[in-house]
Amino acid sequence: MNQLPPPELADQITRRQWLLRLGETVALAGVSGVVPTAVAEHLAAAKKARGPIVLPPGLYLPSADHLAHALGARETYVSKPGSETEYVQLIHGPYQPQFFPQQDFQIVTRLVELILGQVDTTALSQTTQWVDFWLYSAAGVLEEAKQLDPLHRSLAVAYYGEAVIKELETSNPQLVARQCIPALNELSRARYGAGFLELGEPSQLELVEFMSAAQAQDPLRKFFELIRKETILGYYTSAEGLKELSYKGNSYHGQCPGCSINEGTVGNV
Amino acid sequence: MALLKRELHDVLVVGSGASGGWVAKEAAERGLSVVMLEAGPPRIPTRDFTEHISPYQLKFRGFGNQEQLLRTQPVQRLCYACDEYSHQFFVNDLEHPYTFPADKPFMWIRGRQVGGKTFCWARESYRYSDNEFKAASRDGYGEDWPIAYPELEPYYDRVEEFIGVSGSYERLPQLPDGKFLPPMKLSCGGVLAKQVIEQKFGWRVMPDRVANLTVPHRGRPACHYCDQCQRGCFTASYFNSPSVTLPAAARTGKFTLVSDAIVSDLLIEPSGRAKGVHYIDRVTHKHREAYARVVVLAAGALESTRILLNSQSSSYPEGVGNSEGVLGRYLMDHFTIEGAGGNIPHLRSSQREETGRPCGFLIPKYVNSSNDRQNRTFLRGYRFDGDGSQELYSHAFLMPELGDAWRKRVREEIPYYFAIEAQGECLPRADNRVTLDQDRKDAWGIPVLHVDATYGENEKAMANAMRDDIAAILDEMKLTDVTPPKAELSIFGKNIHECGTARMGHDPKKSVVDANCKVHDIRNVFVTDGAVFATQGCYEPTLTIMAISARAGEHIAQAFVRGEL
Repeated sequence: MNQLPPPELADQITRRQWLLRLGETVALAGVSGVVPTAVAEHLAAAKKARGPIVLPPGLYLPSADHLAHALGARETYVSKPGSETEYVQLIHGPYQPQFFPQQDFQIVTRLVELILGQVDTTALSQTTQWVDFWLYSAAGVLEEAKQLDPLHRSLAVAYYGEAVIKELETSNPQLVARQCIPALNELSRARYGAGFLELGEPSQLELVEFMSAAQAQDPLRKFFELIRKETILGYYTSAEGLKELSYKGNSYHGQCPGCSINEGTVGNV
Repeated sequence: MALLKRELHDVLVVGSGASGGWVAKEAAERGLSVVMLEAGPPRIPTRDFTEHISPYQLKFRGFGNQEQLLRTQPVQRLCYACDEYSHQFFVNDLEHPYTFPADKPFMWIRGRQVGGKTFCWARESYRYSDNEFKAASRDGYGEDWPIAYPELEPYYDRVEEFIGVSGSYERLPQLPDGKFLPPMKLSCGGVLAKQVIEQKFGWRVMPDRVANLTVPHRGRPACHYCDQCQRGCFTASYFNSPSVTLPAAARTGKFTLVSDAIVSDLLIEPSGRAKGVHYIDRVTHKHREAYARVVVLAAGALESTRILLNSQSSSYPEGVGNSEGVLGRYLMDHFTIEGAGGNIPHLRSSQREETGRPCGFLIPKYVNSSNDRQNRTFLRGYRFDGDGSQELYSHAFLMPELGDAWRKRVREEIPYYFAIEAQGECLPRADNRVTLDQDRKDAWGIPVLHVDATYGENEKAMANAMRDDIAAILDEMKLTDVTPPKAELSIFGKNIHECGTARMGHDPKKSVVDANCKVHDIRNVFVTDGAVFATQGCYEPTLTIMAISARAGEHIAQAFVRGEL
């Protein structure tokens, strides 16, 4: 087995050098054609400093190239084969809903639009796709919840409480959605003489307000809350939603984030 | 990597996590040949780490594939870190079953891979003091450790200097200072807590001591504050064994790592000495043997004890180290009182703060730590941890409007939430124990553990004091929308600080291993992980596990040279 260099040699890569290298990598990461060169240079520099290293599989040393690869990824991330993580795949062509029939998906898209207001079309599309995909996945979750081993169920109850687990085992969001889209259209026709999608925005908003103000157990209220909840989750986990929030986490920071308010005045702000 | 048939090593270490890494490093650096058997696979950073992945890059937006989690990880999913980003670092519960009485729920959170749970640990690193090591002498309950703080101090120094621990010097007798890198900063909520709590109650508020680098250290760059430690760390800026202790062992050229090797039991010679271990290939299920002059179990408290219990022979009919029936007993895990918090109204803002500190603040144990702060309704004590931060978007659910105006409010009216929880010591009780469940086997045919443990009256009395103190803190912090602390204690095992079951002591009738972690009953078997803890205190155990392991590794090497092994 090859010998590693002593730790003090590796220490010669100073914090400043790391920051410069990583900062440069991050800046270049989004520029097509530049990244491979930049990363290769970083790798070469790091390897030169360390000398030849052979470690058994599973052991590793600090690496800037991995960091740059992840930081530089945009909407999609390409991982190595064998990864246990399921990444989003790039969609070519229009999205084909997995749960909703096309007509119903248009209604859901309109509801999401009414909830969010004016947003970027990509973000709107990602949000509606999330709502559809979440509902599509809900059937499998319900089935697994109902089949929990008694010992695992007792653990889940001890952790979350009986009410939460009961809800997990019985709530059927797919059924709610299937029943309520026709119900919404019926309500729309009864009130305005036309289906939901044919209405103008003021009438659509009146119906949304009606649903949100209905009794807690009313299926239309449940449906609206379901769509609203998944809209919030879908939008604020999209790239555009996070940008709108000015989210400053998941980043490379040169120094420890801390309280920016003068320590003596925090209590008096 | 497969072992050569009949190859005899000096030391065989079972487990590649915090404990095993230190034993291997210390023994190999002193010239011993070391083979390490790890039950799980190697993790490849470019394939298995999810650091810097955004939710929109994941199929389930970070909320997890709940169907799969319910099916294959119904226990592990209860751990906060077992999410869509990090579930790969936790075991499949179908392959790794265990049992417990239905009325005594127990969470066994396990990570089987090269590095064990060090990918996902919370990195909090506190020294124990004689407050913990000699607790029995102070209050009369249970047994002291056979070692005192001065004996372990140089090993704490060694561990901290090597792995890098950031922290502040506080000069508290009950929480010894160490060899620290500069501390992390406090959040505004932490700064406010420090001002209010220190002034009103006189309790120290300090940044967590964490095994994250705040400056470059031994060839590893400083933390870049992405706060995604449990997803792996490309830059190795927090301690995990695959990037810190195990490369040091590998650097000696005396270290062999065998992954996917699930140890079932010890191989015992007719003389009663261990000659190695019997293990099963995780992938092929083939049965194999590995041989060494010394065997060190560092597989995690419960797994090490399981191997000892499962090592039954004519010499050791009840398992190795169980001649007095102590093995498996005195299981401990910290309990927590959680859920408390509220908004700090004057920190509500329209400006988004940078976020990414991988730690919060700590209020060290004060009760029953000195003569002037005694609470006689319970033994031992507790500490608090907490932090404050801006909400990301959870406030959106509470704002009833629609459309642009609603999103503007979400963006510009950012609440600042403050949370605090208490963590308390669990007394070591003989009836909190693990045994082998011979009726149930894991995916490799090894008998599983039955865990029978619950919190007692002392923990419940302590919980009352914790809640009272939390309520006083919340009140003094003048929070709004206050959520009181939960009434229930956390589930046994939930805090993943399981310790005991092969405890350390001078008396072989009351303990399983001696002060050097050697099993009393057998000359050449050691246990070095949390199983050997005689008491647990209220602080995280990993730093102490590493210090004990470094000490045991050094002892093994020295005893080896002296011909004692």
